[in-house]
Formats: sequence, structure tokens, C-alpha cells
Amino acid sequence: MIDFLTAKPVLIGLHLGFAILGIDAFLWLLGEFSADIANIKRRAWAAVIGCVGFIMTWIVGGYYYVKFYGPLVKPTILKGMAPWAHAIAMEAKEHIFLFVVPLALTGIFAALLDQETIQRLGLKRPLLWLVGTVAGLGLFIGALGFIISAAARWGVLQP
Amino acid sequence: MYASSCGAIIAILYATIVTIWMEYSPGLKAWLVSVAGHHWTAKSLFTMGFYIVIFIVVYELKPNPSDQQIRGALKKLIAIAILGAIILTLFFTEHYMVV
Repeated sequence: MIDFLTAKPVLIGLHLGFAILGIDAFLWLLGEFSADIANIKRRAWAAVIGCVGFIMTWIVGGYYYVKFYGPLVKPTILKGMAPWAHAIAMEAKEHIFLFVVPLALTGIFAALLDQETIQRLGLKRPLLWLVGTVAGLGLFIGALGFIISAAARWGVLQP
Repeated sequence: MYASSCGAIIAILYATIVTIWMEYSPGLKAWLVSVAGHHWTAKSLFTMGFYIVIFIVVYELKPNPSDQQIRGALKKLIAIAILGAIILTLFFTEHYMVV
């Protein structure tokens, strides 16, 4: 079982799958805040699912990055036609990702606020920005991941 | 939420500053590697460490922040996260162009 879960394609799939779960859950949370729906339980579910997704993608992606990306993928990209994909996209991706879990954890505390408190504190707009930033950073990181994967494929095809 | 916002602000500032600093300091990179086997793993652990420690300290020292403080911390967190992402992307772009 461990051999299956730590196989390279499975790790990539899990990394992407958990990231999509995190992004989708925060888009769901964005809709809940945007529509002023006073259902704390549903908001909390969305935030917790999203946060768990981001934590899992961090662990799985981190294992893949440390164990396989450095020794196997990075040299292929650097000798390919887009070495900047590592130097810019990967470097930015791996470090911007560090922002996401602290932001998502703050999203859980935000989801637990009742509607009266949100209105009294004038938090609706900042909360929309917080949750939108988490989802937006997730999508940006996903786009960087696509660039890195494409560069690795083109690196392999280089003579 | 105030304590979490403060913890996240410090964690993001740490991640941004140490990432740029490390590119100019081989000694810092070597130290991070010595801590956790890989510089990124060490940065990940320290980022979460800063978040948790600052969260606990702020929660203990300021259990009842004012409305303005809660709103202000949340706005600062959003601004710092967006600016940090822009700064790191531009930094690595510039770093690649120059080096």
C-alpha cells in the first residue's frame, strides 16, 4: 500500500487532488460569505475541508518535491527549453505555498463568526478578500504547477 | 480570529524574508538544510512554528481585542499575503534574468 501511495504518478495525483479540494472548498466558502448565509456549521465544514485539503497537498507535494523533484525532475527542466520554469515558476510556487495554510487556518476562525458579529465589525468585505485570496493563491500556484509539468515534458523530449 | 491573523502575518513575513535572504546567504541555506535535511522542509516547519507561537502569545496577551484591531489585523494579513506573493514572483523573475 505504501509503495503504491509513494509512486510518483500517484503522489502527483494526490497532490493535485488535495489542492483542488482545498481550492473548491474555499470557493464554496466564498459563496457562503458572499450570499450572507448564516449557516455557521456549513461554513465551518467548507473551511475545515479546504484547510485539510491544503495541509494534505502540502505533505504529499512536499514529500514528492524533496524525494523526487530535486534529483529527477529539476535536472530535466534545467536542460530543457524552459529552464526558467524551475528558476521562476517552481521557486515562486514552493515558497508562496507556505502562505496558504496559515491563511486557510484563519479562514476556519472566520467561518465560525456569527452573522451579527460579521455585520457589527464590518467584516464582510475583508472576509471575502481573505477567502478569495486563499482560493486565488491556490489557483495561481496550480497554474505555476502546470508550467512546471509542461516544462518537464518538453525537457524529456529534448534530444 | 485576531490571534490567527497576527500569527499568519508573522508566518508570511518570515517565509518571504527568509526566502529572499537565503538566496544571498549560502550559510543560512546550509543551516536550514542542517535543521531538517532540506531548506524547504525547514522553512515549512518554521513557518508553521511562527504561526502557532504567535497565535498562542497573542491569544494569551490579548484575549479581547477591539473591533478595530480585529478588522485592522485581517486587512493587514490580506495585504501582506498578496504583496508577498507578488514580491516573491518578481524576485525570482529578476533573479533569473540577472543570474
